[in-house]
Amino acid sequence: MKSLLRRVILFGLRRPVLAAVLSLLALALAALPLLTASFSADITRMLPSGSESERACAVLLNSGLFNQSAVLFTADTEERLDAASSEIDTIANKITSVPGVTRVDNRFLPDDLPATLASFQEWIPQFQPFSGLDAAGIVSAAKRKILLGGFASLVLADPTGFAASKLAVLEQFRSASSFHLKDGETAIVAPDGLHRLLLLETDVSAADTAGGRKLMDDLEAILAAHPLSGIRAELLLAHAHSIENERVIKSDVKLACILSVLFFVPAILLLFRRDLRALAIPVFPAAVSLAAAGLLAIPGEPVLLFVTATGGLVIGLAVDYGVHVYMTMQTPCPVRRLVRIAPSLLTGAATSSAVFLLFALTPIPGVRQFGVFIGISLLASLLLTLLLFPSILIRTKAPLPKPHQLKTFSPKLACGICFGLMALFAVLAILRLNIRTDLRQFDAAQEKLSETADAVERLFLDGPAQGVLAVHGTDADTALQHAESVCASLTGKDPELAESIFSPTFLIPTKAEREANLTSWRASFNFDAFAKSLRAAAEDEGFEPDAFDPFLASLQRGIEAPDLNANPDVFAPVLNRVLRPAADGNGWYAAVFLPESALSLAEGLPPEIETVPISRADIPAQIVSDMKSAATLPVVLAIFSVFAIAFLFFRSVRDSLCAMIPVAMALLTVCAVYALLGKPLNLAAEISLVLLSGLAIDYGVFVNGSERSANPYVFRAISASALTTAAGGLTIAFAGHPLLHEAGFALIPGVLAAWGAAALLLPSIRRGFVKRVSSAPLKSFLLALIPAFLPFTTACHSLPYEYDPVPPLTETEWPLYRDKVQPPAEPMKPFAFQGKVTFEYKFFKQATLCAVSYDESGELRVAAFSPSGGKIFELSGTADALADFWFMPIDVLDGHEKEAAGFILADFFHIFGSLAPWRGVKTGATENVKDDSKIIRREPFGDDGGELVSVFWGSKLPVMGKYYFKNETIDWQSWYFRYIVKDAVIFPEIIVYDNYKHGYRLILTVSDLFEDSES
Amino acid sequence: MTFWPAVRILTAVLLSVCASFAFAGEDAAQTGPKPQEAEVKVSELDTAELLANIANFKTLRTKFVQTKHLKAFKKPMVLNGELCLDRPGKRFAWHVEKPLKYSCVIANGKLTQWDADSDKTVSVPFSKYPMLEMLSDAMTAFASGDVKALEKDFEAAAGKDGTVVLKPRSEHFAASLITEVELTLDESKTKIVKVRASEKNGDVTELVYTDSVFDSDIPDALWQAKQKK
Repeated sequence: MKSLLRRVILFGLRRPVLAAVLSLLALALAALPLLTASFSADITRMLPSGSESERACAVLLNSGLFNQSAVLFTADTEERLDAASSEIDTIANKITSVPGVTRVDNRFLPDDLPATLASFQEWIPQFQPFSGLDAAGIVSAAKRKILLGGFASLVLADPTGFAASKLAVLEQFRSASSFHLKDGETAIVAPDGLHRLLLLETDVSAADTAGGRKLMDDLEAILAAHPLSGIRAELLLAHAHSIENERVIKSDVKLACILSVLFFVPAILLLFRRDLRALAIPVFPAAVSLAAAGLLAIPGEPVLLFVTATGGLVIGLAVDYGVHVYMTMQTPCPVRRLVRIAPSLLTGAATSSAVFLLFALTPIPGVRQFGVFIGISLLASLLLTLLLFPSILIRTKAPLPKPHQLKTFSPKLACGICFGLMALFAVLAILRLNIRTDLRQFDAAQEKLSETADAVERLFLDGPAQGVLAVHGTDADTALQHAESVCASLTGKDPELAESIFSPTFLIPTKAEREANLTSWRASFNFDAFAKSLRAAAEDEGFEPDAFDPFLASLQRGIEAPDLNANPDVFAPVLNRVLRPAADGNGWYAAVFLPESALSLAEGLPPEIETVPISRADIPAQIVSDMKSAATLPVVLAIFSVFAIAFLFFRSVRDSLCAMIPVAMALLTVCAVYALLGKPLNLAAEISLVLLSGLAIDYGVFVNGSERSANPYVFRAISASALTTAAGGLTIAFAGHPLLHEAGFALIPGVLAAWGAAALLLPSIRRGFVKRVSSAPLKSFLLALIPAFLPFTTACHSLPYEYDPVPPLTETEWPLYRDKVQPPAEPMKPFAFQGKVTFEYKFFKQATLCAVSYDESGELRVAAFSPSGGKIFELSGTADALADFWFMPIDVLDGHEKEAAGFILADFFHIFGSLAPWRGVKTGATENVKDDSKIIRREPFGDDGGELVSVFWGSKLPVMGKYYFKNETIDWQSWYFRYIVKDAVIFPEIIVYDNYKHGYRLILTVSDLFEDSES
Repeated sequence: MTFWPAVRILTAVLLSVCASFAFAGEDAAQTGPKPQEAEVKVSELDTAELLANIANFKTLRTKFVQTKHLKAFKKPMVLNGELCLDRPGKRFAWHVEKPLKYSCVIANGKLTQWDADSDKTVSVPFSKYPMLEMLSDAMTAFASGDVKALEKDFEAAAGKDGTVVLKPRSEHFAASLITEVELTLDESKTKIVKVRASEKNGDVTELVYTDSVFDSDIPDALWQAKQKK
């Protein structure tokens, strides 16, 4: 390897022009695919491939079932909206002609109902088998309906009642989808009468940023051309997320370029004493990162914009190599010295690159692309720097900088203790670290767009959350057949579902059924005879003989010239949204609506039927769960691989461990900074941790190597490297995109810590080793460092669920919400539920079942069962006293059953107690404090001087969490992650309770909430 | 004593899962799933002949519904799942589907349990807890309705409406917990379709078998505690 590197360096020195030309050609060739590459800002590329959440999001984007494109009109008054009805119709017509818009649904039901009902009759022969038509009976029933007050026009248009029965299915859809409209309206108007929707159907994929932007521009132009007095029009496009993300990232790329120039140029001129040749240092990685971006496009996948935006980071990392080459070239015998240090540089670069290339093993496409991009860039930057930079530097030498020996602080013991204490402090801080893996935090458009989406949901959706089962088929008819099988299977498992389920097959039959029905009509029905008898019967009952002729004409058309591929127009607004071709052209999807709680019944369906459950409530949780497992792997792999590569280089465990010290300090510092700032560690920060591992091991390797070879310039080299890397971090820390901002933010403290550990601590430890193996500084540092790794082995104490972000409270909102979070005046209402409790203690986890009830007398009853069905314990009592208890006879509890029962009862009162006030709260002594988006309520609690702190998230009432604070420590805390709304009762559904006093956690999931205390 | 609550409660929970199996098994023997076939009156049958023929099978695979009526709670707690029994291999598997995914498998001299919420698998070898082997035998006997094997600890008699009633002998520890276990047999009077256990505290547990398949090959996957989440 040394010989190869020597040849590269000498080739660059002997034939600089040829080397430059060849390099330029190679870089240009690599960058060429960028000309035809497609770029994407699709945040779902950060989801693990093949995961449930990725499948669900892919269906959300591609199935067309969840097209959120709409125009929302908001009026000041109902009258104003009514008056603008025809103008909105005009806008709807104009939008129909916009390229990319395939359909605009302006009305849920047609205005001309009699005509709709009449035309509907032609579908009778396709939609139902022939079972006889009694002409006299039809006429007589029609007469009865008219006499009873029915509209004659409607009755005559639909004398059999067939159309009315089919239209009633739409009501089932409305009920199953929780979609609510203003009564008596045919337009899509919210129940409040102030909002109206135009639903748009487009063939532009939500992930198609360019197409989406064009669509948005066209729609905005139409809305601008038709201003409505007193009415606000807002666009709600599924494409807006990718458009907004792309806009933010493009602006970030520009910002990163500007900041790179602003930070790197002065830093380099400062470090290298105004030697302009040093400005070439960042040019090599910049050119390489451009070429590496081109390589990303070769597999044909879209290049992620937020990956390319990390080019500044590449420069920040790879300028290290230029710095080392520059410093070495200023020494006597520079080439010989450069050849000597080149293997160290290559080891450092290979280590970092290997760490990043390991990302290729992760299931997350975005992370894979990021890893490959940085990995290739770093290694290629080093080679290019070694090839071209020495020839620039060899011609004239700058004044030799003053050698700077690495500091060995005296006494060395103090240095070890100092860093050891820092590490210990970091560990203590990390114990409070939270981890947040929800990917939606990196959607730059989330906050901006969620407001309108939430408004539509709030206005038009009501009732319990509905789940959707996206059922796939190779064509529309197969999707329908599959949906039919799915419905049969689901209702077979739970017959009660029949009332709350909706499938497109409720609207239209499959093609095979249509053909069979039609055949039965053609075989058994004599149209002429029926028409004759119907006219005669009409005349007998006092109707005009031709009163039913429109019905007859429609029926005849349906028998003689049916279109088996068409569907009734009146179904189109619904049918086009529940039976859709996949946007990627891969078959069709049928949407089966059902309660979210019933989605689990879809398990065990025949494997040939592909279904994807979509739950608005569960997708975020699924993302968190998928990301947790996928995001942990890179960090673990990074730590092991840097150690393995350091070991391969040094062939000494001792030296490898020493080289790992900057890595440990960097990781600990970043985690501690996040913990101290109260920020949860997220995916971007985890990526930075991996990046820091690769970077800090470089410092460790260099310092260890310099201690061996007594290189006098290593202090200056790693200081320059840390400075430029921090500058690289700064270029993206100011980015508007949360993913880039977080990655840059995490990098800066980590780099500083790694530099400190490498430049100050490591020499003390190394020299301690030289003197005697069991050096005091090492001992003291390691002693403090050992507990530092405990959090990584036991995992940080993070909450297993996450909250959706809530915008900060405005000054006008604050007074409104401040008063809402006072302790309720009413006593706690009776409740009863069954659910699951997962008991966690250190590495132990156990799920159990439970039944809990609270009655009006203030008595709480709790029973727990093993999933094998056996009862573990049962207890009851009030907040003041334990009344009764029973434990399964188990030796380990022998004699302590009462104490255990008391603890459990207290835990359950902590969890549910102050959701409504209970006697421990001293009301009237509360203090509410605004904290960004949260409202913190503090109140004295109990008689031992403790304080109960309740946390509310702005408008997202009720309480999100509470904790009991006494003597500066938290005894227990309880967080509520989801609420059930049932019969106007709001009750927590997922609760995470930590008892810090005894170190255990209960995760409670309510599955069945009952109306009274009878559980 | 400051640390005992967590440790004790956790240990209690773990052990109770094992121990509760024994009682669940009793429940299984007593309650049982909804009968598929017509129940028969066995009050006039010869008890000895009945006991000789009952549970005359090697393997059983059945869906179950366990309904637990608690005296203090009016809504029963219901579990659905699948139970597998391999009498020659001394294997027993209890897979719960609802309300949570959970499995407990007794095979190869150990009890292994798993649940989807924690996604953790815990094994307890019989060598460490010899009591488990005894519990395993009792469980197998209850789940299969092997009254003969239980006669040492329970008194068996023909009950009303085609049932066999088991009452724990006074010296057996189950006597402090269980009043009686009632087994309902199928038409052939050889197989259990329902088990009902009445506890001393007033709780009643019913276990009903549906879709029972006897003496068939049971897939290996069902003898694994960890199931697809």
